[in-house]
Amino acid sequence: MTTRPDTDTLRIKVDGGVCMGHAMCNALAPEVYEVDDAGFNRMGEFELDPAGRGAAERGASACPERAISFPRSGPTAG
Amino acid sequence: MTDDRFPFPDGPLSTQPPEYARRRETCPMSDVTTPTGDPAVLVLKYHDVEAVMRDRRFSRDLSAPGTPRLFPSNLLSDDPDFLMNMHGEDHRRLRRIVASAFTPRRAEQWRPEVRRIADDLLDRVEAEGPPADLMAALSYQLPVRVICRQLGVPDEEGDKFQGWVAAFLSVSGMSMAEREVAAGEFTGYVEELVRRHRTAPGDDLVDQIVNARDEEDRLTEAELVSLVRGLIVGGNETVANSLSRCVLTLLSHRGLWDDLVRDRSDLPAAVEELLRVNPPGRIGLLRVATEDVELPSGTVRAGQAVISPLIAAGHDPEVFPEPDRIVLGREPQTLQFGAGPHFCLGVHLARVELQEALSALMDRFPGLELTAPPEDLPWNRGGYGITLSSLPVRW
Repeated sequence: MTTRPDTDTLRIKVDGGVCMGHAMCNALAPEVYEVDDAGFNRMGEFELDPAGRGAAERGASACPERAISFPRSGPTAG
Repeated sequence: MTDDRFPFPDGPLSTQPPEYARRRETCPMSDVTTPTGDPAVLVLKYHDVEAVMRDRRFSRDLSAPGTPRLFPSNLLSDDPDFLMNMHGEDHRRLRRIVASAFTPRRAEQWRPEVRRIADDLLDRVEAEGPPADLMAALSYQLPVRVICRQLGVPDEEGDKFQGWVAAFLSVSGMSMAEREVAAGEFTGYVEELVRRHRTAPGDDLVDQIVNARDEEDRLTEAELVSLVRGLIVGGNETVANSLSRCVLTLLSHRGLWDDLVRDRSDLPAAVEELLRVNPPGRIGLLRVATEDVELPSGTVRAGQAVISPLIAAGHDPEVFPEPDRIVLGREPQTLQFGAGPHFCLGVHLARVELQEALSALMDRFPGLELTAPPEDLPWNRGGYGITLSSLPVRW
């Protein structure tokens, strides 16, 4: 048995300072992106099973602000 | 001499101005002169248009003296409290107040009601029997009724909205005096509407905005009035214009109409593609660079004005091969409603309205056809948008 390497999980970063509440991520990929009552995504940085990559990318590319990115490494300290 | 006077004439059936296609090939960032006599940079490639709309160094706040303008004095650009003319934190603050009314979830909650309204309107069209003018009987009526429900006002009050909105968006069709009269009535109505909600609070969109002012002090009284007026403007002409263009394009592509009559599952994709091929606007809004900005095709200098029409982006053959062809499921599909901070507030509701109205129309009149050759249809070119004056059909 080998353990799954870290790169297997998908890391997603939502820039809350850029999000304008258009909620396009949620409209295209509700299984990945949650928005608050005003349509804003407050998920910050989180990990997802790589099976959700297609949906995650679909939601990210629909963002009118390009607020969603996929950092390769883990979150930076601080 | 080369004529740089903007806007350029649109193509047949109010499609992309042929000058856009010519300039995109030879000079994707070119100089134009706006109707105010101001110089502006016209960008026509998808990635330039997208960058202009996204980049916060381009501002919609044109209120500083000497700032370039698109059209001479008009109600839309002269209102500094209108959401479309705001920039940065003030814009974000006001959008937040109304954003919750326009989320995907709220739009879906409206879907059955939107369908009922469309069916009611088509009941009347059918009873009065062919021919019918779908522009007056459906396209203008549907969005007005939806906004009336949102604002908690009876349909009869909405009958006045169309004229007021036309005045707000007029740049040449009406005299400034006519526009001022309409603007006075429009503002008077909105102030009265706000008074009514203060006297007898409920839980509709007006109450939500009034509450944000009276309880939470999140906006000024002038911003409140402008915001309510802006909601009435924003959701009317745009949807009416888009819906009639969707119907016109579908009836000119009979195979697609027939396919969708048989199977409605491709309708959402069809709406997106129809909006790419034939969006309601030909011009877009003018923005000013607050500092030098590098775009993919070149540099815009601080203080320069930029015009970035969505229809030009949607017809960039490097992104959409054979741009005039309707191909469902094209990627990317993100610019129909703009991009960046001014991305359409009502996007989700607009989609629901277009999908439900077209679906209701296909259920009711699968054999729908125009009564006149498409090239004979009358267009109104006096406002920010170019709209069909009528859409005569039979079934």
